[in-house]
Amino acid sequence: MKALNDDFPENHSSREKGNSLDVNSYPDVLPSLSAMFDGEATEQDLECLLNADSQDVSRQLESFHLIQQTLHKESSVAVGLEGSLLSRIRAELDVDASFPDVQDNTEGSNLLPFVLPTESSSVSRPAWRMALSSVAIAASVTFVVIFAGNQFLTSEPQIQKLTADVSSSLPNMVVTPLAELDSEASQFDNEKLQHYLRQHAEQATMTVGQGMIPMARVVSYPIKE
Amino acid sequence: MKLISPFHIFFTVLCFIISGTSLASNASPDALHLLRSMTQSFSTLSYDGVFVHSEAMNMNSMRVRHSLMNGVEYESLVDLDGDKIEVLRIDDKIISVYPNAMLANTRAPLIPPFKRFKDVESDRLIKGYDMVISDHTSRIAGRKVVAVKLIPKDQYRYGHQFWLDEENHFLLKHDMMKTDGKLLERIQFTSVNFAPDLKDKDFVPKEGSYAESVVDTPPRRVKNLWRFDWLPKGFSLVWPEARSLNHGTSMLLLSDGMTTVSVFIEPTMKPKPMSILNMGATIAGERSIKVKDQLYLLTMVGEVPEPTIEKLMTVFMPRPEHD
Repeated sequence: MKALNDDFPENHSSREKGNSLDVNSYPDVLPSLSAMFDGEATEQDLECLLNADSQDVSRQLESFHLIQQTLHKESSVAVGLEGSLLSRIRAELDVDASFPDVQDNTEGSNLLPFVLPTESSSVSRPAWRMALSSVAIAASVTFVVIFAGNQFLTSEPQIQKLTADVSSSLPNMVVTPLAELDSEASQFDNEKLQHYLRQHAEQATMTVGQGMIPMARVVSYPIKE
Repeated sequence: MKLISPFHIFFTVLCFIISGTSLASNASPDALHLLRSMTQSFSTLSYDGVFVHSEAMNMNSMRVRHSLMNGVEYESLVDLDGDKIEVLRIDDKIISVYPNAMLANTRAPLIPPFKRFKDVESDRLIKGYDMVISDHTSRIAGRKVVAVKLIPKDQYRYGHQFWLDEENHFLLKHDMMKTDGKLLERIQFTSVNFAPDLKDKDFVPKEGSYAESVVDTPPRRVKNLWRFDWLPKGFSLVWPEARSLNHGTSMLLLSDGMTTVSVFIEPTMKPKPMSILNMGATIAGERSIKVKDQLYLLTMVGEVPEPTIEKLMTVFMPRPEHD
């Protein structure tokens, strides 16, 4: 940026004159200036800029500065469409108040004026807003269903986390430790079960090839007759 | 240099893949050899050792002795912590020894098997587990060990790690791990002597104790009328036929070469919903199933994760009649 100003000291100094010349009368100036600003100017661009009205170029350069400053300040929310869309949806949800608070909306509301196209900022705002609002709600429903999953379905009034953690399906089966069999009105026939456990240990001993050691399990089983 | 670099990386990666594959394929036979050797060591070696069996909150120490004297095999397993129950085996004769007659009446006899399984079922094992020999050596019960790890290929079985004596491949430590890697059950020797001075009188029940011989009736083989609609990989029936126990119960046995699931089926009058019970590493499931007008009680017991028992209970069904 500094380099640019140094390249055009005469433009900068002539700024105070404040003439209201129309940029559109020099159709080639804007692309050339833009290229210059981005550091991609060719010789033709430079020639074009030198031939152009210095006041006009200066004025345009100032607006480029403003845009750049805004961009720097807002870079955290204006990184791309994907990022801003989510913020917009959040902001819309807050404005409409038809949905519970998803997240702190400060960044979303900051973003709204910035992403609006300058030529339609005042005229088309309500229409744009309505359209986005419905899109936002539709999108947010999908979003909630995809990312919140069961949280949404279990009618939680506050959707605090929109993370993609999948709750592992807990088995419905309750596994009772044998030691608690008495307190549990169990279906198991204890005597029969002991018999089966011994049969099983005997066969396990034959199959796994560890001598008498698997029998240690049977001795450890609590016996309740 | 810049042009060569990606090729260089690709080549290096390729070398790693090839060497990794060849290592994996070489590891299995070695691991299988060690497991086979471990199985044989139980019946060919003489030993006198104390081991600790721990699972969940329980810990139990036991003494195991084994000796070959004049071609006769003697074996004894004594519970050192609880009721001092002893199981003796002299060749094919099994004696359960209790501290007194009263206890003997309240506890059903322990029946160790007569015939030992003396080989590993490599075909089944490689379907269910990846086998790795650890290059890290350590000591258990004062002896150098080599570790063999069995990593389950699915969530239907537990993982195992065996620590075998470096010299004679006797099992000195065995860990059973849950599917999430947590320890489920551990057997570990604290001391073992491979040159015990054992006499035949060491295998005679102590005076004052109550001994009872176990008469082993060979199991009656019956036609297997049942089948599984699904089995985890590597699992299959150990016997082609069912075994008939008392009270009209049929028993089937499933194994993947490392762990077993016993299946008991008997006619019943009472319908029962599915219920699951656990005893350390052992899971038992029970439910009634209806075949035509007859209710059957199905019980499964095995050292497998609870969902495996639950799933097996739902895929158990009668064989088609023409089968």
